[in-house]
Amino acid sequence: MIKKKTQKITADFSSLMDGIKKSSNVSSNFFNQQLSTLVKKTNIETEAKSLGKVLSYGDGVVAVEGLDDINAGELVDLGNDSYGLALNLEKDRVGVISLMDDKKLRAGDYVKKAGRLLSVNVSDSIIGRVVDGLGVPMDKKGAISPGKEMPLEKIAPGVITRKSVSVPLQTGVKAIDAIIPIGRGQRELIIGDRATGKTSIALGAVLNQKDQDVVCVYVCIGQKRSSLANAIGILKKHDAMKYSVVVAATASAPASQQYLVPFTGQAIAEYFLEKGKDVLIIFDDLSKHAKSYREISLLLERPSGREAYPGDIFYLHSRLLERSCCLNEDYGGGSVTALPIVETQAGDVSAYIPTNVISITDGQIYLETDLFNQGLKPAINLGLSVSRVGGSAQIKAMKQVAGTMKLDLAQLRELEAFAQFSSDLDQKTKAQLDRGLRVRSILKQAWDKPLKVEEQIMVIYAAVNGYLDDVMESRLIVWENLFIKHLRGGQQDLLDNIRQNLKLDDTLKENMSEVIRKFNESDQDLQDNNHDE
Amino acid sequence: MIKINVTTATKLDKDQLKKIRDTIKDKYEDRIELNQIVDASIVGGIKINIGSLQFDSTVIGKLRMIKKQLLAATQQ
Repeated sequence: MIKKKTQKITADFSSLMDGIKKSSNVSSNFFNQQLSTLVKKTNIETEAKSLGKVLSYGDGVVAVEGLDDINAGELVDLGNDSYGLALNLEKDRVGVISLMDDKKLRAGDYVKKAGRLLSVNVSDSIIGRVVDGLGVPMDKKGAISPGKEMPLEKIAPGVITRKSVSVPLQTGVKAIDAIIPIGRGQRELIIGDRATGKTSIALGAVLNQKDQDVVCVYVCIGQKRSSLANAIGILKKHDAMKYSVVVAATASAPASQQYLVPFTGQAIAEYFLEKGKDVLIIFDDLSKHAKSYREISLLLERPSGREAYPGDIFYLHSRLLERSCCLNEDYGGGSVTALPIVETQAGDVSAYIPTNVISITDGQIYLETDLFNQGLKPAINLGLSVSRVGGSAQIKAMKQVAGTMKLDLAQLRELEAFAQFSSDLDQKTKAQLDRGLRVRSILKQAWDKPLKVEEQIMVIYAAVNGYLDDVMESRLIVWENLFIKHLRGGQQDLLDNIRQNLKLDDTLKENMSEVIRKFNESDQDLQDNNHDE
Repeated sequence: MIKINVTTATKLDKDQLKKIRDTIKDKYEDRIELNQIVDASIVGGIKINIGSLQFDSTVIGKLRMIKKQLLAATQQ
């Protein structure tokens, strides 16, 4: 084996020498000189290397004898350009997970300490690219230009460097921006069963960051390739790849890459954080991440705990999500907002991973199958969803209109149960119920049609102040579409006013009412003619 | 006891081996066991393995290092 390698190197070298000779014959000594300076520059001092011998290799786990001075989490050179990560340090052996699908490694091979920690090369040119779990491009657009090596594992920014969340991150979704607002630097969990629109909400939030100077990182963990292709397609279609990076380890990637990919994404996000930028990172999804870590832990024969997950599964997610933060001005003032996604089984939020991640994050957006089937999209259960810190990041005008809306929705929930028993309701109750239904309907929104915050305020203002009471419920969507078009067409001044004015004062409110009234009058056919029946 | 493998291209004589043994002995308190391996494929120089630690000062090792660094330089 060694002999073969030696022959290969000798052959390589002699062909190199031939090349040098030829080139010096043909043209000047330029090539010759260049090469000799390069060779002279190389460092060939003898150094102490730590070696290990492969005892066994299977299921992506390499058992190594030797490697006495290796540290936990250090990179191991497995030869053939493939690397592994030392995870288990025992008395006479080291458990290494292979990062690539290595087919050449054999028992008895020598491996050595790589002498560095796992890191990913990030530069500004990574924006618009699709990379794998180790930061290697998957999109055949060439290598990422050399920038900074960002370590995958890093201790989260300290308390001194942080400040509390104060700037909103607009998702463009009315229900979220009004009731469960998200601030820059917050970690908001998106949780729900399969096919309830979790990814859609996250992608919608990415689409809404257009022209907001926010870098978006979409981390795909253990998803189907078709889903990933779909997500990339959506981002491309809406021109969102110009400010986004996709980091993906699909279901067919080795478990080690699926385990590392969120850290790679976070490292990429931190590159932009260091530059003082605002970053939005989406982990889609952490339940698959937990499963890949469980797979690795079981193969490494670590003791298993609840649902066969290893004991440090909580620490795995907490150390990842703790790195999302909002830095103060002394440290660049950047932020990383995380939207982790967790998939539940049959709505069971009390399973192990969901409860873990709920307790780590600053709130959750809870999606329900029932609501989804009723056509209330986004299918957010507003009673169970919370945002623990986002309230302080909401703009004042939104806070004003959202306060009334929350009340209307709470009354609706109460009345709805009551109204099922009796058909005869007094006028006041019926009016309240109608109002509630309209407010709830106005929160329906297609995920790929994000609205600006001032547009959201106008629509919600109209609903909570009774300007929609005369519009048929089934035609609310049409009303909204036309109204938004109307606003964008001729009322730019008003919209600018709402955005710039921190608070809705009486004159502004009067202006808003006037615009809505006029619009309603001009579009009589939207009015509900059978309202009294 | 520490196992030490000394690899050279040609056989070392007793004096040379003793020199190596003495140099290493000073560094370690344990008893040492010296093993001589002759391997012509390393071309020249010497390679010493102490436990899992390796000091590679062979010609082939240096060539390999040059190759690696040249490749890295051309990729940039």
